[in-house]
Amino acid sequence: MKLTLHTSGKDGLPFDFKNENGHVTVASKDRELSLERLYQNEHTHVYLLGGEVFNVTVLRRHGERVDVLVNGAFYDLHVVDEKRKTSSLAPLGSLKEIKAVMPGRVTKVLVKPGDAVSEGMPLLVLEAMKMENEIKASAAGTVEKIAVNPGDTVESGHLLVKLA
Amino acid sequence: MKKILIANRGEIAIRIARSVVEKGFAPVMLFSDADASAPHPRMGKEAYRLAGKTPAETYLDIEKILTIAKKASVWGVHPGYGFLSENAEFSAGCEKTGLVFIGPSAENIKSMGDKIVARTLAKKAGVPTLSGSDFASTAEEAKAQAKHIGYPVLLKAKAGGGGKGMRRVDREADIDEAFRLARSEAEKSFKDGTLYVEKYLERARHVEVQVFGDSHGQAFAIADRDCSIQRRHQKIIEEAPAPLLSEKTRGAMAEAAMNLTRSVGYRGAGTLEFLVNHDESFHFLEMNTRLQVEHPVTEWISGLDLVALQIDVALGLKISVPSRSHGHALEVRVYAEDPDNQFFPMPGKLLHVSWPTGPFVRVDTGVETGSEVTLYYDPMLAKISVWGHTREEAVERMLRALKETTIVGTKTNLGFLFNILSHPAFKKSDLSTQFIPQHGPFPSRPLSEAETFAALAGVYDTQAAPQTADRPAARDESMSAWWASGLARPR
Repeated sequence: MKLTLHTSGKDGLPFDFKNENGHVTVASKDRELSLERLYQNEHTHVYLLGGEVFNVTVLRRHGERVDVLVNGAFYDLHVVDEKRKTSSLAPLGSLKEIKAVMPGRVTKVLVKPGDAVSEGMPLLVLEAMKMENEIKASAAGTVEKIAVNPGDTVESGHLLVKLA
Repeated sequence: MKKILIANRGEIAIRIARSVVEKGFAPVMLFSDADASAPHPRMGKEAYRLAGKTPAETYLDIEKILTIAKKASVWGVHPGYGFLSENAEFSAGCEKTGLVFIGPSAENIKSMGDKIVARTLAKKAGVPTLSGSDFASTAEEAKAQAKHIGYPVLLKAKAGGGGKGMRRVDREADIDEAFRLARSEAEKSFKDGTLYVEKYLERARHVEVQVFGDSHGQAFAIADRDCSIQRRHQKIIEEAPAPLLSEKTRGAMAEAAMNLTRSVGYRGAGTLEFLVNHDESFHFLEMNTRLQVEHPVTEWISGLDLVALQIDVALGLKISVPSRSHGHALEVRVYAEDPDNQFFPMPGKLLHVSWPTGPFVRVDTGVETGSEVTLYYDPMLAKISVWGHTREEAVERMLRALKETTIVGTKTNLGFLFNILSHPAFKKSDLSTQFIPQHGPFPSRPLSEAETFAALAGVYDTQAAPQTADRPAARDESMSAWWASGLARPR
């Protein structure tokens, strides 16, 4: 199995994995380490390497991002499974389609079709849990379509704004 | 056995039930339809359903709650924090029904709940306040007042609390938008959209004093807390005592707090919130007429059970409070939210939860493995608090406790809290309400080579190892489907 680790500003680093009698061997281009599996449950894996304990908990996967805790510190890793990319792993939703991540009510639309927006610019205000939350552009572009009106109640996954 | 109805949910309902049991009363719990399988109803000797899911039709429904209280023939009602805890109508309703309301009088709640009246009372008791307006009914009025006070200002809700209906405004051009947002939030949260304008102090600290009054005319100040680390105007890290405060200032604040408590004949637990400037000048913000979320830090350093003390006051007992505190305590609020995206609430199912234990660690929580974090209520999952002889010891203990904490299934602020506590400015007690924008973002330290390999091994073992080969697809589905399905993040 092959996983590629992407770090911003650098080329992806491919890693190879081998599974052998209580150990997992992880190899990059110029390094190979064999980690002893000390303990594992559904979410947490504890490895031993040269006497050092590594406590890894996979908290959440979303597309190519994996949230992990490594010895208590939090990391949002960008990991691509080369083989599964085209099969079972759902592709990350298009950055140009901004969808609601939670149910709520649209209280204000701040842009109109044809507006040029930059990444991070507020597009509309979604009220959820009594909080007004600004929904921002996930990428730069031009507003192609606004799929909601102020006052609309939306479910999670509902398309809000489409950028071109 | 006398019964006490706990008119709340989640961690605070459980925390109150524990003291109720220890004081020899039977706890009576309430639960909404959304909370039927939540842990808190199980803590009761009795539990009653509040039909519905929204706060308005359940934990905020005075009539429903009083009907249950009568039916169950309870002696007293504890409102917890939030919901009806600062609702004068509820307090009065309890007394009228012949029930003991475990909290201050309706009159105290009413006058302190009106932030403008509260400020007047504070001034009268000789407590320093911030310059501010009476109230602003239009954005234009707010503009005129802001000009008079000088920017930056804070728009605040007259009936405010919990950071709702509050907006910072730096310049006149932004006031229309801020006024509209703050008013609509205030209307929704408090059914009262009245706003007022207050001077905003840059880089001030939020320090508050825990007070107690009893029906024998006594008033006590029980140490102070620093709650400067906030996001969205809500506290996320609190500590007691407030660090780096001169004994003179500490004493003056306690004195002022006692004076106000005594002057209004206050009964029960209350908190006076102050802003403290660099020069240690302090200004009264408001008085909360209830138990605070962060009361555990005061319990750690005082050795008092504040809920038990509330019950004593409600019983009409004359209370006594130690004058010295001991050591240092810290608390963090663990939320299901996304610190990388405006602290957006992250509902979902908690697939696995495990809390820290060990010496001087306390966890107040209302969730467990399998719990569903819904949109109906506040997404706070737990409060973790620790005690140490010194602040340094407490910080190290909290870092240790956070390392022991695992919450799988939804995004939480655990990593964010860990990184704030590790930050040199936090360790130096360089605190202000602007700490997060000023020092953030708080990236995790870089992974070492061995950690990188271990992290990837973990990812590999989770999704590809033979023993979990059939798991990934199933897990993706259960794991907050709306997120895992590849929706774009709203940023």
